[in-house]
Amino acid sequence: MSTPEAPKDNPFCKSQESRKTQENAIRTLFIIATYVILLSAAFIFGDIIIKGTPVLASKGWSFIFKKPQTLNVIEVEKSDHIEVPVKNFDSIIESNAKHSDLFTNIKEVQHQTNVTTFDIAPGSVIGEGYLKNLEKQNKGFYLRFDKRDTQSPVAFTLESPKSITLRNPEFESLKASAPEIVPAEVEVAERNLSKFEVTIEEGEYPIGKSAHDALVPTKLVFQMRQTFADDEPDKINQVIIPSTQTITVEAAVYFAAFDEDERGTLPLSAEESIPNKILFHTFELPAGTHAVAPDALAILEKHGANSQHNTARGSIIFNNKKPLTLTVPSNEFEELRKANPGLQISNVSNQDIASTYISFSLSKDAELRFDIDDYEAITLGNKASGNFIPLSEKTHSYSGGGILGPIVGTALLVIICMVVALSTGIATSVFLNEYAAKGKFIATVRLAMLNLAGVPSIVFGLFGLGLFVILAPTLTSQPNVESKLIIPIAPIASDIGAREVEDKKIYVSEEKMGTDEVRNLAAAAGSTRFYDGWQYISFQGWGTCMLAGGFTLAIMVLPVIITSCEESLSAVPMGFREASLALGATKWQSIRTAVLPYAFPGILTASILGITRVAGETAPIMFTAAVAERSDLPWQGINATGLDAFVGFLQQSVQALPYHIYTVAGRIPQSEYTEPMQYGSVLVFMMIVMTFAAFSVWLRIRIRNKIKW
Amino acid sequence: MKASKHSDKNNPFYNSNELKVLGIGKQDVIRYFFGGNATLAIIVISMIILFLVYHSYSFFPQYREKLDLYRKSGQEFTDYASEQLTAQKELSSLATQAREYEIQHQLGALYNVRPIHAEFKRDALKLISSERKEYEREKTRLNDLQDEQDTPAEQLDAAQQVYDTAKAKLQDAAVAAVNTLNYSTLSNKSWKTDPTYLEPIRASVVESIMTGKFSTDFVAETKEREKQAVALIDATPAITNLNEARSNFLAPQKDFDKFVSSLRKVASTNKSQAVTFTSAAARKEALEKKQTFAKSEEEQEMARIESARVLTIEPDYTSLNQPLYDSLPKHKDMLAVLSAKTAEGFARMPQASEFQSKLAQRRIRDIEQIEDNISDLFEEKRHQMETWDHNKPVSMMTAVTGFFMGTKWVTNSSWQDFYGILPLLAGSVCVAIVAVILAIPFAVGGAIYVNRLASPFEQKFIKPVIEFIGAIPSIVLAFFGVVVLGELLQTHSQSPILSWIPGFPVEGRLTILNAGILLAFMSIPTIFTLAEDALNNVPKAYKEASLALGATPLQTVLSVIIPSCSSGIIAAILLGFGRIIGETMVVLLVMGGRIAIPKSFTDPAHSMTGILAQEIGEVDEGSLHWGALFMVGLVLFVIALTLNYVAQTTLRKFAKR
Repeated sequence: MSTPEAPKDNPFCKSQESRKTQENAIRTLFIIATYVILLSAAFIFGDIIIKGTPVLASKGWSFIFKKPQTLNVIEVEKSDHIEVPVKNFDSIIESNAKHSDLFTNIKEVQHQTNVTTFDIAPGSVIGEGYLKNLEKQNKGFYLRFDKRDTQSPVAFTLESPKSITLRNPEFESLKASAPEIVPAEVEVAERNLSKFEVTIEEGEYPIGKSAHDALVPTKLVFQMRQTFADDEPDKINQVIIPSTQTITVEAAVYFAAFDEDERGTLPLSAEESIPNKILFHTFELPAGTHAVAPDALAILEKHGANSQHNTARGSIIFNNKKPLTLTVPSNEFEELRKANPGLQISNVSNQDIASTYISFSLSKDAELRFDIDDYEAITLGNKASGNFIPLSEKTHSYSGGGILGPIVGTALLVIICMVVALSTGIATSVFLNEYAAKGKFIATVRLAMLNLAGVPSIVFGLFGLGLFVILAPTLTSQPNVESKLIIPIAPIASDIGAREVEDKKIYVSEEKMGTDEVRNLAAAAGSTRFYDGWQYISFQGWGTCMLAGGFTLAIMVLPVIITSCEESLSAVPMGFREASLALGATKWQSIRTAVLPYAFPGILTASILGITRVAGETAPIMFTAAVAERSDLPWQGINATGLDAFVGFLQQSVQALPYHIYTVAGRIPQSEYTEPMQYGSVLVFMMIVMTFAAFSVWLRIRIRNKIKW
Repeated sequence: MKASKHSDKNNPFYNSNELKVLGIGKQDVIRYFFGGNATLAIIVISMIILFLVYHSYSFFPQYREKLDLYRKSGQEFTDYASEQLTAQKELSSLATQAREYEIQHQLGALYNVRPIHAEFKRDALKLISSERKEYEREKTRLNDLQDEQDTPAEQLDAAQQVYDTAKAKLQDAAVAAVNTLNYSTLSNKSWKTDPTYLEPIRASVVESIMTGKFSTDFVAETKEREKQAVALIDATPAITNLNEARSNFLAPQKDFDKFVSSLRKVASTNKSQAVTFTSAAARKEALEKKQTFAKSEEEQEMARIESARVLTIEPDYTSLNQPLYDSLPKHKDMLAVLSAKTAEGFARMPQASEFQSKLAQRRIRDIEQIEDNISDLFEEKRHQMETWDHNKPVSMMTAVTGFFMGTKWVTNSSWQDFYGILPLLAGSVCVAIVAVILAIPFAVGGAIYVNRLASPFEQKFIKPVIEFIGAIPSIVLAFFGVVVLGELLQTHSQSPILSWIPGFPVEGRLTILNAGILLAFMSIPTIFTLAEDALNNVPKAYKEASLALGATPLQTVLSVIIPSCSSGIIAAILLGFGRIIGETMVVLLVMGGRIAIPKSFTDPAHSMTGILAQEIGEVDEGSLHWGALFMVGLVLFVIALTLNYVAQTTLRKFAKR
């Protein structure tokens, strides 16, 4: 191209030599710039792959199929015959691949456990603690009871005789409700606890925190100019007594608030001691099982009778229609039966269950890593033998187990997001490309879309928080007290379990009154939700859940999807549409049969591109969907059926892979123990996202090359 | 493709049986469905604006009230005095740091010998824990046997033997363990090391393990040597002067501190009374409500008493603030002492050039900078204190400027919360500028190379790879920055070859520079792709004409192609800038999270996106803090929109040409 001798007046012409060097130098600079980008990418990928692969190799599939857990780092003393269930043993070996030579004498052991199976008849009565135990031991058993019983007798067991001292009123009520356990001879003692009648003059006085605290439960009217902070016990503040008052106080209050020698106590203008005699009754309660009325147990519990009954709320009545079959360990069965006289049990059968354990020796003291459930299994399994001797214990949150929860969460978020984004995105692009005529409306839509593409992802997060998490409407019969707007629809009685009312603080209104009134009542009662037999549309938001996160992500990714879908639609030649229309097809028919099928590969690319973008985002889901810790998978632990269950599932918060990485990389202290989790999850995350990315890049190139109309 | 209107009756394809409701047929329904979806973009963008405004509009009035309370309670007055002290305290702490860095520099490897010793010992103990436990066990057993009176001699001997073997085993294990330790295994890579110390340290660690005492002769000797060296350094004129300056700075601080804390006590009492008063009416109402809901008479009585206990009289601010007004003469005296002593200290300050350590020099220069304006600050604050009036109303403008020009972002403070966006804005802008400056040469250079100079194979290969880089999730890059890049930068910036770069050596792992590099890497695909597009769109005729004139391909690119698509490239850069400023995870994790206006690009800082991500999860809906965060979101949104708009306009202009 260059001429050997360029004329001198050519402005581009310089001497051949210098021009060449200069050209080469600049060209080299460009090459360096380009390849530095590629090299730094290679460096980042390389670092993550090199450090991540060993983690995946040593943990194997369990890294994918276990939930994130706390890692316990325990120094264990060398010992023989440590026993642990088979599946935990495998996991322990995986976590301690470095020390695998220390595990010797590995052999299988069979253990028998004795369990009792029995039926519970409908209408049985059981104490709350016992019910919870039953639920823990029988997977899938959850009683949605609707009634409590505060009358039927409850039982408790004393291991040894116990001496009990009661004040007079307590003793009298015990005697009235449970005369059978009060013996004939009761020791009676009389003690004198004075009360004081004191008069305080109107005025302003300095007061200390202890005196103030003592006065709060009394009937004295006093006004504080400022409140006491918890961290300054020695501070003196001013108290105003608005009028001269005379009140009666207990001795303890008297000495705390009016003692003249103390600093920060109130002066008295008059005081009088009122003798106050109290009778104390002491008697012996023999060992054994006693069945008494619940209020009697309530009194005795204060004096050391242990049981798992809830005397304040009462026992629970089984509302099952058919007998329920449950299983408990045999040694607990007797206690259960003794403690609950109202339990109607039949078909009792004992069974031996064999389980396989691994017994091994530890040949040296070693620092071992345990996931929390393995650690619990190993301590439980060796409690009796005492062979497992931990010397020191350190815990590292989120550093053990695998990343099942985050993977599942990310997958769910992506699915919800893509369902929403693709349906609206494709519809929009069809409109823009096929229907819309040039005009103001289209110009506005395009401008809005361009701008939407430039909005920072964290602002989408804020938007999702404001719209989906705290405002979006839901259909519910138990609206939130703090809902922005509640619209009643129809009175539909749904069954409110007594348990939900107690546990989740639902305020149940029995009478019919206005919505706002119920709401105020519920708020005053300190409940978070209320129920009055109506179905409502409540603008209370969906809470931090996968639905809110999925919608937020969908809105964020919409411009990407629309733009690329539109591109692929407009790539379909005009002739296709014209031919179809000429054959008599309607507009929609021709779009459906002659345009969409040919645009499909492009739409597929767009959706994969969208997935890549969405799966990698952290900021929009940080406060709309993701939580750092969640012990079960989103579909576990939903106590509902049918549509309610599906809605409940969508309203679960999830762990998400990018958020998990944020947690392990930025929010917990860094140490050598957290590193495998960090690199492992980053590598898996990269593999997932980059596979999608590579796939979309490949598809795009393929379409570009292959499809030529 | 234009939408065809209804075909007329003559059309043979016209289907007159089409079902119509209210004149709307199936085709129309489909059309409206698609059209409805298209409006979503408009709805969403307007809703984003609506929500940001809705949640933040009450911020300024609320903030004004907070600031009003801040003034009424006398906290403002106290803070004037305490700002004087804080500025002055900065001097002494900088001086202390300068001395420490200088000593560290001059001692070199010796400075780190003892920390290395401690770390080696810790690592070695970890490696030999089981041998050590065994040794300890045998030792206790032997001691127990020796303590007992009537132990048979042979049993004692046996125990002694077991003990000896355990000891030997421990010794062997310790030696073996120590030999695996190296300078390269140290956790702090920036420590200076010297190979001559390695063997003595190892030997000393073994000795320390065997004797069970921390100190060995080697450690004691090192300590002594350090002490002598430090004494020598302290005797140099620079450090002597520095020490004297420092003691001058320190001298008046204690009294002034006492004075400020006495003011603080008054103000916090006032504040607490004011806060109690502001909530009194609401509390009284709530208690009266509770009274009507009370179930028993007793409860009702108690609720009545509780509501009677609420004090609803406004505190008398004038008398409460009297002690503050009375303190003015005392403050004048104290300030005179403070400024006199400070000036004396400045007079003794050595020059930065007298120091060898770069870090020390940086501290000295910081002191010199403070010297320029500290007396103005003293004067200004004194003037503000003298003209201060607790009754002066706080205007709305103060709240607005307090947000946009405020240099403090303090939340959850027991004293007073401040919401000033400036440090966050500065951090965001600073990191974006660093990133863009780093990204431009690579992204634009790469685009030029790939589009104009590269071989077809390179084109085919590089473009997809860079697109692929664009898909790396930001959290992965953030992780890389925290775990790898931070340390890499910190270690390599120590090397003398790079010391000409301002701000080097880098002092921490998490800095603006670190985040900037990652963000540059992140924005490269955006800028590259758009710039490459722009280059691609230059008409072929330009190139042909240039070549025909005898220009080489490179000359063509540099003087014909690039100028003709410069606006496209600028738009690409602007869009890249927009992407960087909106990035969250990298700045949150990698920038260090210090809320202060950064002085250099190697400082840690915080950002607008980072503060949103960090704080909004823990804030109550509708609180002042919530409003402030949404306000930050609004500012961010406006910045991003403006950038986007400018870039798009530039692009459009370019496309039209």
